[in-house]
Amino acid sequence: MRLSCLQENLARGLSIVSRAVAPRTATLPVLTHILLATDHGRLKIAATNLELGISCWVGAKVEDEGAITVPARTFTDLVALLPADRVDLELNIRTQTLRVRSGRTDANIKGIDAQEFPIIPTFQDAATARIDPTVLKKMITQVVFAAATDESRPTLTGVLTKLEGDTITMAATDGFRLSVRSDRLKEPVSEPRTILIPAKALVEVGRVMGDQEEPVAIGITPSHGQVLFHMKDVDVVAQLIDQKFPDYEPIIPKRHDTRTIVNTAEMLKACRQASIFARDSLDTVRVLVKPGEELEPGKVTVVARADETGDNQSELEATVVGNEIEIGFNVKYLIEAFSAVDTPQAAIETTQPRSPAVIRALGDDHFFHLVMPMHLPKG
Amino acid sequence: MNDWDIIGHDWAVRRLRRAIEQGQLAQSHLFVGPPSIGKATLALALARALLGHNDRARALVNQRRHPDLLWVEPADAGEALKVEQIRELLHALTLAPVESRHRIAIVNDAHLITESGQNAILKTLEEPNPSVVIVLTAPNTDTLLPTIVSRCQLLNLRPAPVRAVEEALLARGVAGERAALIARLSRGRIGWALRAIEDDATLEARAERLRDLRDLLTAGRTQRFAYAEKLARAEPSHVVQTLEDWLLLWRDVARATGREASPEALVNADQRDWIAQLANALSVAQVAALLRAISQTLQYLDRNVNPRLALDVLLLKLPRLPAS
Repeated sequence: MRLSCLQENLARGLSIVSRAVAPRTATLPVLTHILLATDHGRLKIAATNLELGISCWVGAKVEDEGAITVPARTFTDLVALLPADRVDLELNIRTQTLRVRSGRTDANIKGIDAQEFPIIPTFQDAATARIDPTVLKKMITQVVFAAATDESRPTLTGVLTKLEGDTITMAATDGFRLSVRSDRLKEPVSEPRTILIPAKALVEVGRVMGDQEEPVAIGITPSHGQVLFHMKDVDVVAQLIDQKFPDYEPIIPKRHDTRTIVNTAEMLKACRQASIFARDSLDTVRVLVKPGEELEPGKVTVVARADETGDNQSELEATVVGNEIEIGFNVKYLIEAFSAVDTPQAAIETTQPRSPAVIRALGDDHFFHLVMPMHLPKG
Repeated sequence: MNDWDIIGHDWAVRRLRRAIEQGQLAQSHLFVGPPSIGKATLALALARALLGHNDRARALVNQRRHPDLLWVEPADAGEALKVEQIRELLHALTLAPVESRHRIAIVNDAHLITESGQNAILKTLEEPNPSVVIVLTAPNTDTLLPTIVSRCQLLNLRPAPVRAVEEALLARGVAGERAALIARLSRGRIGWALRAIEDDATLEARAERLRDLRDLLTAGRTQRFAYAEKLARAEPSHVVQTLEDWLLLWRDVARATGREASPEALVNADQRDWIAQLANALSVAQVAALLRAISQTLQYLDRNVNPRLALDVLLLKLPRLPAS
């Protein structure tokens, strides 16, 4: 392998793939390495931790084809300190050593044979689906936060992704809340598909996407083992979770007794204030909803109290249709839910203090969030 | 040697191969058998059969570097297998395979998994993902939770015939007499035999343990107690090995006291003359008592009896022979 490329391109590529590099405690040494390979006149940079794989292509002047893996840390740190100029990479096949030259720098990095690097599928066949990048980004921010981070229930660390007709639906739950969003695909899929994508991988997809404008292509490998997000010069491959996601339809309330419409920003502010005081009381806050009377508008009061800290209550005007209700919530869940609402007004639908509440973005029927209430202590 | 390049265990290899060909391979396996008998080697061969679609994949499996092969064992020999290692494994097993159609998990020395780790793995053993094959290895089933054993397809590996070990050693270019001696000392544990030909220290250590025994037989009480004190401070595995080497030697002596003793029957063939001397000097009853005493001491040590006390008692039971 012999090629040259620009330092800034190389550094940018390395920073994109760096999130997929395995920690140094990884069982397979090659997972702490980065793959460098010539690919159709460009340099392909790739990393994988067997859960998430990122490949990135940068422009290069290729003189000899070839491939090698080098320790991610050593190579990234070195490239970061090189001058913003041409970098020459040359592989000594016999010793599997990569020579890096730029300006007055001349370094040799010992690598591992590229044969040892896990095969990361790249985008070859027709896409399963294509989606607008801003739509995908929005779906990711509105859904992924509700996935479980605790590995003890592996299924819930994934985001259920359904492709059917021209609709894509993502759903995530950690057992305490559920976030669902659906949106349009660029064109209908040939057959319906349902996959479970690790939430962590979707976060990376959102991050890598940047401000790309071209549609993102989504591909599912023939083995059904991986999903691939094909972006401009970057592919993100996620290893699918091979388990069955719980059927969430039955827990969605069919009706509600109270519908409360609040200003999203005001509600978020009230929750943030309350959270300061709720820190020492398991993040529990009390939400009181009172319908309006003849001359008075309806109101929502968010109350937090901790024996050590003190108490706080914020009141906001609201349009309330239905009965008065007092219901407890984990305020962190409320903050995350209302942050995900991107319309000026949000609707809260409740039935009983012990039944789940539904939060919707007013005017956007494609987003739906359900949150379980918390038991309120008496008094 | 069979298709899977495994010495011995033909029956086990046939059974696993047939199961793969018929698409009826169980997903959770438990390979049991004495140490160094080839449990891990067989597990690796199974992984090679399932993952090795080309030379690259086979080479990666052999080096235990295949992305779909998850190899878990105690970080230090004999230490416990930590529950974090098991959690990491279970997480990896929820994901789809990376390169092939399977994900193979090999948990070597599964009896060293902590109890919470054993409980954590139960659910996965019961109902792994369709792509997953799990192999646990352990010296016997008693050392595992019964709930683990009952969830696995059990494969009991027995020592290979001494003849098969000897042939394997000859095929590796080991000289005839040495191959015969190592094969017999191995008692069919092929892993032990292969280590012995690679590393002279294995045989050298045995020679030293037999020299110690020879000295002790003519030594007085003070020297015997001194030796017991020294040995009791050594690694438990070294103590066990010492007693096992002695046991093998005294079994030879017992054979030599019998009327139909043939030199080929001896395990310690290199000690023929000494064994004959001992057989002459001691009665059958004395040798039998000694064999019982050594076996019993091994059992005591296994049950965590104070090693110093157990060894003191054993060494006092050694007969005292006149210095030659």
